[in-house]
Amino acid sequence: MEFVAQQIMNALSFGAEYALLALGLAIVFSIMGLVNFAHGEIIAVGGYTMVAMAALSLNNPLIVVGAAILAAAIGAVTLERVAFRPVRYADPTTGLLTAFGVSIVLQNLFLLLVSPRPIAVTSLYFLEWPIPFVGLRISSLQLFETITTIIVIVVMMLFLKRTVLGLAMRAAALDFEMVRLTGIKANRVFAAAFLISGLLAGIACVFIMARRGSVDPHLGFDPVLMAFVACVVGGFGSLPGAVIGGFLLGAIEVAMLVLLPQSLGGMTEAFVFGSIALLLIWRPDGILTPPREKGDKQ
Amino acid sequence: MKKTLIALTCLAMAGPAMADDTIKIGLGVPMTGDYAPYAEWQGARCMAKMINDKGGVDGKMIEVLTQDSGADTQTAISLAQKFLDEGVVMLGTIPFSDTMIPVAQVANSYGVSIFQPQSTQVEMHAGIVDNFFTGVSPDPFTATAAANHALSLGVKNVVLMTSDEGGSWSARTPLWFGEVIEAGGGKILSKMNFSFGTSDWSPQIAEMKALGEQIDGIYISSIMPDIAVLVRQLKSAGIDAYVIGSDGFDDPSLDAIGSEDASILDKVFFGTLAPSHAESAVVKFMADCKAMGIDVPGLFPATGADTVMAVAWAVEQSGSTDPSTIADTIRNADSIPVLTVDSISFKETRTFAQRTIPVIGYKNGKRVLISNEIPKNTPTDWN
Repeated sequence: MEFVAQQIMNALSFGAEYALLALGLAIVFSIMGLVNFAHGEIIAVGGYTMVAMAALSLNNPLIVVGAAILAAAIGAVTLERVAFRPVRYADPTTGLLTAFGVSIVLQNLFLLLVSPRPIAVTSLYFLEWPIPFVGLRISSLQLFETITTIIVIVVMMLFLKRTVLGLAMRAAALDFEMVRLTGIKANRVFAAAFLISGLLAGIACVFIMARRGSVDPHLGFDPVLMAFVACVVGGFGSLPGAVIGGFLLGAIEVAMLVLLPQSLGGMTEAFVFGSIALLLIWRPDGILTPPREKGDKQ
Repeated sequence: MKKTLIALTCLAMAGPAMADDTIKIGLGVPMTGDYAPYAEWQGARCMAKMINDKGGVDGKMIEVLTQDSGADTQTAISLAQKFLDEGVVMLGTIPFSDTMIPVAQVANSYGVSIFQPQSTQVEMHAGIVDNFFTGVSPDPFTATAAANHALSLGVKNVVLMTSDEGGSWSARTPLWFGEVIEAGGGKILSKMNFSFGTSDWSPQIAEMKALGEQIDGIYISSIMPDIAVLVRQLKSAGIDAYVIGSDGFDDPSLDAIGSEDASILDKVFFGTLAPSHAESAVVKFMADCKAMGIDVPGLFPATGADTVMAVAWAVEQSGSTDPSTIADTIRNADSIPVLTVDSISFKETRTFAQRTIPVIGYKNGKRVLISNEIPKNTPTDWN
């Protein structure tokens, strides 16, 4: 029983991380139709900012965390301005290729200008300690990550439903031209989407760095690929779908790790993605298909 | 027309003379991409500069030709072809058999061999090609060295972590470790799977706790930063076992996890390619290179120096820059001086270096050399 409870907690933690990352991808996609694969490099920007903070002997955790989130947000907005705005109205394939291009360029800049090897960042180690809880030994980091993700989801819901900019973003996800006709500036909506995406990347970065304790040029690439899968499972463009997809993916991953016999260990990912394929056969557009896909717009 | 012919004849005559004045080593190796941390080109360039500054080898200068292969086999093959046409006497390439084998096949018709100073995978030694040298001993040796030390510490009950993602390095090395442990009276409690890039080991740790038995040691052949996460999470979960591994542990970022609490590294040790503690030749070489303005950030980049030293030694011994003669001289030598260990030899092993295997541990958060021997009880079944 303890074992099962422990693994449920692990699945929640895995899922929370994927959900945070998937939300960052989904919010940009819902408005711009862009799968921003450079999202992972925004996470790495946050990681390298922590390295810079350590080099400057600024080890106060609040400063380190704040600087990482700020750097990720600024990085995301800068990418929107420099790389994605010029291709905003181009074919979606152009946007996708731009995102891959930006990702590759940034990875190699980190590699050539900083180091190809992992650089240790120990300033967030304090976030992890064991918490005894009814016979379980829960990691504080897992708890923080799950709670933070829930808070982020609630704050995002409030922002999207209770603020003018949030309403504009939701409207833009359905019919961007109509939003522009009401006088709302397109640049503002896009910049806001990237800003939120960057903030989410920054928050995810804090947890990833607290756990890994080091940054390398590929820090965010693999997690973002998993987040992309979570978005597809949840229904691309749907924010609740991204969250559900993230938690579902986390649960499937932990289940496969635990349930598969050792002889099939090399097939873990095959089984994870096989399960997802079955899910997509059942729901080809993901679990929560965005309204637009159901024909609200056309 | 006549002038052109004369010029071409002069060039053709000048070509071999220029080649004889320079010993060219071609490194089509990863400088970017996933394998960039191997970076043997950095150590090779530094060692070449050191030798050239002292007058070269019998007056001949060493030229290290480097170009980025990324992690792409086809690029590595193209670069090998380019370097072969430029008259290299030895090649370096991506340190994995799926690249080394086709590159060796291309180089074979030129009489040129590959010297790869980092490859420990056993696949290369299956007899598909023979015009190559791996400057280090294969993984069964590092696994055995680590297992012998574990047994000397009284480690009996072990958990083996395996992954198919790194070939035999991550899939078989733990099993060779387990084989030696069992031969020494120990017991394998469980084998568990993992993936590269794991940043949360909680599912595996929960499985370990569910075993309900005292775990003395956990063996894993993986990479940083995954290992550092595992070490920290094991401690956090209250599992007081030795964390034992291979050369993947050999990264400065592992040392960094002891910066706050040095005791976290007390029960970590690994068999690796070469001694890399504070007093080692590798660390001194890195400092010397830094003073020369060349960054050699760690053991793996430093191993490139072995390639240059082996080639320079063979040219000096044979008095020839013919690639086949150089390869034969290396293969038949009793002892070749290199940077990372005192000497290596291919005389008995033919394709991999027989050399001592260091086991590195930690004391007060600092690396210490625990042992440095050629293990005698290495498993012989590599298939």
